[in-house]
Amino acid sequence: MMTEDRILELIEAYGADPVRWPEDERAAAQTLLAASDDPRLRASLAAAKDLDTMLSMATVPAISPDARRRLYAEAAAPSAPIAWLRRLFDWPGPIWQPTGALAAALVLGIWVGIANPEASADIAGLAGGTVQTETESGDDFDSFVGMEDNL
Amino acid sequence: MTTFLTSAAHLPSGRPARMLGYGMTVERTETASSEAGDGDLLTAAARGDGAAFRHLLDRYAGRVFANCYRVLGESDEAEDAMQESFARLWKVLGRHTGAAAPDRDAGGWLMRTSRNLCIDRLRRRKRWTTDETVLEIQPDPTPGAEERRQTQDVGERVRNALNDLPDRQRAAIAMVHFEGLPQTEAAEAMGVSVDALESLLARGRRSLRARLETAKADLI
Repeated sequence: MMTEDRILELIEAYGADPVRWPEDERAAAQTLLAASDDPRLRASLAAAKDLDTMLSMATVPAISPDARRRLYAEAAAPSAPIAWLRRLFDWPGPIWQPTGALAAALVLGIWVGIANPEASADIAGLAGGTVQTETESGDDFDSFVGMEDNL
Repeated sequence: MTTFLTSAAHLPSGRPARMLGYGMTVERTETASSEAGDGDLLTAAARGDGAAFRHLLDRYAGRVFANCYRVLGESDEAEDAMQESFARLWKVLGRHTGAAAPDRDAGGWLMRTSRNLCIDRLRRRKRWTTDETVLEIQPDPTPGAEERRQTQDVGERVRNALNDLPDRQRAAIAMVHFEGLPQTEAAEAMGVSVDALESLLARGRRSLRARLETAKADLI
């Protein structure tokens, strides 16, 4: 329950403006304050209002030119490589995903090449054979088409 | 079909860029301007658009610095905290970490981050826990002090009185009076109970009244 003593505490801590008083106590405090003729409340409120006015006059120094320069330099430089990679991949997620995938593919390729040279030679041979197969397939296709025409 | 995500008025100049938004590919030929909302600027900055990040600096650097200064009571440290806050924003946007990065309210994110950084800095000071024993601030008795006060700028006098408060009292007043934080949020940021916060506020305001009493006639 709200009391005049509690209103004094609120004014002492939060000042004269009820906007800064705790929300759950504000309405009750304002109601009691309006109804009360306790001179302590009036005096406390007046003193708090004076202090609030003085606080509103407090200035803040300007940001130094050096700090401002450092701040804007930060925006220009550090993530430029990341930005370049983003534009390169046009990747909306974490940049490590496409980069990691490329790196993994590269490492796998090198590992297969080094660890198993015979398999690599077979693969190379298969690649050569494929060219022949394609040629043969072309012939097969022509004869297949011819067969189809004969049907 | 190519669609513009933001209006042409928000895109006055810049290099071609492609953006993904709301599940569709969007062609964007220009960077976000200073009039763009926080969401657009954050999206552009997350893609490495330095101009968008500079717009965020223009928009919030003053506010973040003022907040840091009021909590720390010291310019150099406030500038460092401000710098660190923006560096963290730049970093989380670059990483695209999702939950850690703000998507719309850059100001709120920066204020929260800078506040926490300032409290961390205050905690590292030896004075953070010693405000119970600090003597109440008295009017300066040295010769010529009154004359100096008379000639000092009014705002500067109040500022100096605030800066002379013990760290925890100044931080409490900065958060509740100047930043307008709810009590629970301010208490949580400072790591104290709401009752302790109220006590810090009341003691801080009493000290300020004592310090500024002699100057009240000039100030009001």
